[in-house]
Amino acid sequence: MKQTLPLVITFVLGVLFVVEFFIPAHGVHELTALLQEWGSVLAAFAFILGGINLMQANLPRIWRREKDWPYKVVLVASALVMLGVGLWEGQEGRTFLYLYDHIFAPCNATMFALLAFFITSAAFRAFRARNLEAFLMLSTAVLVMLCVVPLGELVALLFPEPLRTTIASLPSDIKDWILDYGNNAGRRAIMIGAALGAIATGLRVILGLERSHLGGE
Amino acid sequence: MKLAWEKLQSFDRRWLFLAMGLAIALPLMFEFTMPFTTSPRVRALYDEIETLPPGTQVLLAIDYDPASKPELEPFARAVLRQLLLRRCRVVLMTLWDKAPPIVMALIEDIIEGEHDRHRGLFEGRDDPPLRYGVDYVFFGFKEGKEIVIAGLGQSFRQIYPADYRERPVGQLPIMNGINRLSDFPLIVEVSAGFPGTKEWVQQVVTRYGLRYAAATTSVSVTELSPYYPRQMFSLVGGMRGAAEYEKLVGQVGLATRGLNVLTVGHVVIVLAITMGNVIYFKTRKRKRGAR
Repeated sequence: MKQTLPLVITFVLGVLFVVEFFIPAHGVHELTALLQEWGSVLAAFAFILGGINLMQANLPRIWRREKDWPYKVVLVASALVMLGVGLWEGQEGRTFLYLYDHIFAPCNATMFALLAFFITSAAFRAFRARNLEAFLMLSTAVLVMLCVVPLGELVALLFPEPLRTTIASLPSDIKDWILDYGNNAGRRAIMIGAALGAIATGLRVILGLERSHLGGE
Repeated sequence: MKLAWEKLQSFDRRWLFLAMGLAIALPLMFEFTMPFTTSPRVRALYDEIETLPPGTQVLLAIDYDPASKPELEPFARAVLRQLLLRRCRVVLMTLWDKAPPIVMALIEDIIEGEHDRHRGLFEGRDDPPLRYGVDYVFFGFKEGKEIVIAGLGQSFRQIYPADYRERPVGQLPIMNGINRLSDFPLIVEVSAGFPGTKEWVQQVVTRYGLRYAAATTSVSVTELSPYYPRQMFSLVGGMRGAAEYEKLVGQVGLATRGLNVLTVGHVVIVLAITMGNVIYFKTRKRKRGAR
């Protein structure tokens, strides 16, 4: 029963959602819309589970004074403060928005901004033309990087008018050509392969051949 | 000479950090204007909005967090301004839990702030004031990712029974005639990742034949490029795309200034790559010679 019931639910719902895609009847859509609403509610519970998991993972380590425990104190305290203020004031509360604007947003942006420095360092140390493939990738990357910024347009200013327009649009055309042909061909091949794989996995789950989602092997 | 190349190989990377820091700071300190052209990918959305009749309901999904705000917000601002100036009615929503304060600030800055003070948005025009629930509305954040997108395709009202301030959808005149996504003549999404453009395309755009345009971060452009122009008729990529959009709407904003930073930054990275490779080949030759 413990195994069969989840398999039956998976099969019925899986078939329903596949069939619904091809049946435009109003009643079928209403049923799936209701199920999607339930799904949305269930997904919201993941936040509560996430919060419980955060405490379970960090509180014992703080208690035992394990390595880096002060950082975990900061993590737990920040989570509790934001939760408390959010519940007390609501999402438009003054303190809540103050914490968001003056602590969370700058920290979040800083972490992302550091990428610029890491990329520069990585470009110097790791981006080497060791073989033909690496050379092709490197030269394409450099070309796209230069074409995406208005350097071509800047150079075009040195030329008289009939030539200027052609030169100004040339980098953009090169970049679009690389994206539309080289990139899209590779991407589409990967996407179609991945989609076929997803269909096969989906069918295996619906038919009960794949049971890893039930916690077994 | 040989030793010099080897020394350069173990070059202190803090000099690179300094170079990049200057490449970011100097263009921001000393403003200059770079000439640039607009691409058809970006122009397509601008032209589409310019043809919309006043009163058209447009869905604007804001799916980014503070980390991607500098790259995506200039576009969000430019497109929101254009829609409001065209007197389109804008329905805002988000699937990102960190986005609601960003959207609220956007509303406050562009819709409420600028209009009330009669500066910027409707300056010199005799337009009636924009009213919440009539001309614009924000539905807030909804958890569920792809499930929410798929659900909106079937019933917008079932997924969002009330707006951000818990006002029932039935009491919002802006939602008259809107039951599902296909009722919107235009959907614009500003996306920084998951859940975002890819999920919109896969769940609803092709299935319901939606008129859909997206603005994404630069790194996402290669991944989303196969969807242009069939599934999405316009793809605005990163800071450059946003700067092009600002140029089209005739407003020099953060993206136009950011483009200067981007240009100098890219030049620094290309120089770092070139320098790294020159050093690599010089020292490799020497090692081979020693063998």
